[in-house]
Amino acid sequence: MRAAVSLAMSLAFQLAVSPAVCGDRVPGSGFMGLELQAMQADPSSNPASLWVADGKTLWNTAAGIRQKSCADCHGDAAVSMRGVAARYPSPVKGTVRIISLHQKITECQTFRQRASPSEPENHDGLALETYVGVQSSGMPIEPPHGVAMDRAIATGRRIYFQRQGQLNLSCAQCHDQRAGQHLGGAIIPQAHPTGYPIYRLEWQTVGSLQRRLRGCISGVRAQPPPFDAPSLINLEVYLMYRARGMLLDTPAVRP
Amino acid sequence: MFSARLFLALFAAAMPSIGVAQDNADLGRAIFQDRQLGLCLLCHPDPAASMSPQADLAPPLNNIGARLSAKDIKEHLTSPDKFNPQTIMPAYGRAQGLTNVSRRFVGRPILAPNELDAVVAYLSQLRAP
Repeated sequence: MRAAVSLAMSLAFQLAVSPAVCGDRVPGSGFMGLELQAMQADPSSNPASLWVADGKTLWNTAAGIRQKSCADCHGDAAVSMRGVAARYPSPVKGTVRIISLHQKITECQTFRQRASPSEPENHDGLALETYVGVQSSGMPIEPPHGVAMDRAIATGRRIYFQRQGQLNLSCAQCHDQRAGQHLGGAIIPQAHPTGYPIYRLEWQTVGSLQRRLRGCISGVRAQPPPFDAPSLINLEVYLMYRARGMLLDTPAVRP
Repeated sequence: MFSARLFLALFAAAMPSIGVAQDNADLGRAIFQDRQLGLCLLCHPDPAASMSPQADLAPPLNNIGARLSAKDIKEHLTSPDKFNPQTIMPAYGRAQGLTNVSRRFVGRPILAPNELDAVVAYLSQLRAP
């Protein structure tokens, strides 16, 4: 009897933290051990919770020349930001320019608050992005449609399949063709960016998808584009399109 | 990366003149196992270790010295696509015709010719019982 209860409890626990597999697409958490999955699922053990808390504080703090907070315009993030991270990168309204969620936040800082925009990978910027991201946790990734997006997807796909660097490797050769196998001792995931910004154990901090992409590009000994370069945005767009329908699990923990 | 290469250069300079062939194979093993220099263990499991997890993107090489001549091993290293057009193994020694190579590595092959020969000497010795 006791054994049955403990089995039921362990099954319930595994279900509670089991990654949201979508057809044959598996999020990064699906390649992690149960311990790490549990760390991600429990806010009291997920290190990125500190960034979420800082982001919440920043959301409500007046900043810039205009001394306006995010909340002054957007109100409660749980309402106004719900679903937003599932749609980025997105075209700027009325244009064909596609921007990342990080860039959207910096535009608000620059033009609405008249504050200095957060540099890439800056703690406050990541905290805000994580706080905005977590409002869409559990929602399916839904990239917008349109000519600009189609063009970005096509360019991003071309980059994804392009062999590059001194090691002459493409993203697809590892993340499509060899996902689940081991590079060195590390499991290669399918490269579905469901949980950004992520707390990565290797970094010992929270970082963006672009940081991760630049790391991979440096890894094959190619020249990484600067943050927010069009090629990185296009790659980001392609990866989100590739992961469409999968559930966001921000803030994710990854090895 | 550069400090690893410097260490190996010193290692090579310190080699006694007797048993040079074995020392060259030892140097090759050090390059093979160095994840910043030879990079072999990113894809191949380490023939000298059994701990897990190990890379499994490429075949084990435990018996490669019995299967291939030194000349053939070198050709596999320098022109891997000749044996398998779909291979992900980079052509060691190749420095041209690549896309978007990092400024740190542009115009340079992964291994210098003497390093390549040392790795060939090490691999030629691998003969699993």
